[in-house]
Amino acid sequence: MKKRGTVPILLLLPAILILFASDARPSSLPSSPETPLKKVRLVVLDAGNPGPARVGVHVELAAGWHLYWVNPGEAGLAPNARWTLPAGFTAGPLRHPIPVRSIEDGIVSFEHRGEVLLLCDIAPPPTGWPAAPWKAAAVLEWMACRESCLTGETAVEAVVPPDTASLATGRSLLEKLAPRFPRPFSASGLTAGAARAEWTGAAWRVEIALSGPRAAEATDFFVYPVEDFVVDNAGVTCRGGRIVCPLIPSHGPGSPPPPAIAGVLIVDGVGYEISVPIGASHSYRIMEVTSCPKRDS
Amino acid sequence: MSKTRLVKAVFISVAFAAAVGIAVSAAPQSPPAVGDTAPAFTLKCVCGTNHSLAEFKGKIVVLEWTNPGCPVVQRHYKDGLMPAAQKAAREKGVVWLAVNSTDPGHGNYREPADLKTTYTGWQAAYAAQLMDADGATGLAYGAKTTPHIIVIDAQGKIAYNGAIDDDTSGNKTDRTNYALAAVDALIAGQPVAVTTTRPYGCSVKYK
Repeated sequence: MKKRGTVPILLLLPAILILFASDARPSSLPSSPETPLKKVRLVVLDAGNPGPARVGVHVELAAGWHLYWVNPGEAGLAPNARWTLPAGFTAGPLRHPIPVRSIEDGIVSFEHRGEVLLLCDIAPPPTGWPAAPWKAAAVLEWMACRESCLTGETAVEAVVPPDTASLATGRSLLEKLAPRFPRPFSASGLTAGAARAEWTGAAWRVEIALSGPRAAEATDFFVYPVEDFVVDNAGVTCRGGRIVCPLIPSHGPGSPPPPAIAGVLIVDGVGYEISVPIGASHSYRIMEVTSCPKRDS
Repeated sequence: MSKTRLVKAVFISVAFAAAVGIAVSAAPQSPPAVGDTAPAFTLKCVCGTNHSLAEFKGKIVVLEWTNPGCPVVQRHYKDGLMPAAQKAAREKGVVWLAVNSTDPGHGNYREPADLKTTYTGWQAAYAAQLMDADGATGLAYGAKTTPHIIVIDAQGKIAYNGAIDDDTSGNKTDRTNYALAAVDALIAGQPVAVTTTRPYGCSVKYK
């Protein structure tokens, strides 16, 4: 006859052994899932009406982790938002704050660290704004890296217009993080000649000449993705009032240069958003950027 | 010219030549552009045998930088996209080589036996996975990401450099596989339409 009571003790034995062994596991064993994005939320910054509504995806990153800028550089992926909005509403592209340039193992990347706000303008349908509150929902697709990388999706939503307290929270956040966004180029006090493009045998060497008393204070240029070209980010320079940006055509050496080049120019630590035409016209016209270009694909 | 002056001139010339030589050898080599000759290599496969680019002379070769710790690589294998592309290329007589340039000191490094098990489980259909632990081959090609694709034509010239496809988020239903498009063009004797794209994925974890 089986002794009652022994079976439960035997069944518990493996669990007891695992309990005592758990502290001795090697560090290479998988640990608990990491959470690079500590907090993600959708904040309403402007309820719109009559203009577009402005919302922001606010991300707080865990220490050491980074997300990528709209041009991630030579590795990584920019975050992308898949929006769910009421019928007829349209979301514009995500507008990014100024990134941090990182070079690791010779690989250039443009990163966001710490606290990140990604702005988006939402336009109403042609029939106008609804009388009732509406919901903005998005799934943020992200790639976050530290020593290694993780990808994921995070769903966020907000009601527009928000209550008074939520709107105050959003505006306070925007006030805090607004300095991280580029200003219009006209605020820099600089002017830029039309970009010149010269074929070097493997890439178009695009050169922009800056002028003005602070031209020499321009120290960096973050290039927005250029459709049908690969930006040679390691070859981009900005010194002495001259920006040089090599662009490798996706369709081979016979391709003409792109019609324009755009990006964020850093002057004395402040970012300014510019777009400069390229071409034979040699017009000295500056185009202000009113929206972010499409992300690289 | 006196003997002393001649010796001095020779000494200066030799010193100058040596200095130039050092400067040239110390300068970082630019990765080859599309149309350039693909750098030679000999690397050990996870199966233990050596493979060199030279042994595939006259064939189209696809190089795919890989790292099983990268979520973008995982997606391409677990969704079956990379194995399907490898299989399609193999059926066209193309040699597909995966290259692993991960630093043995990095958390993503896996021993060859472990890699073999993982990629077999993922139904990988490449000819071989090559270990490039010192990263020399990756750096010679300018490999930036995992995955990163280089297509080499039958004459040993680089025909395509960039991403595996145009589907960065993995949500497209009508994606373009740039590697296969380049292979098809080369086989048909046509110019490769898209020769360079921005590769996307994790950075190569070089030493």
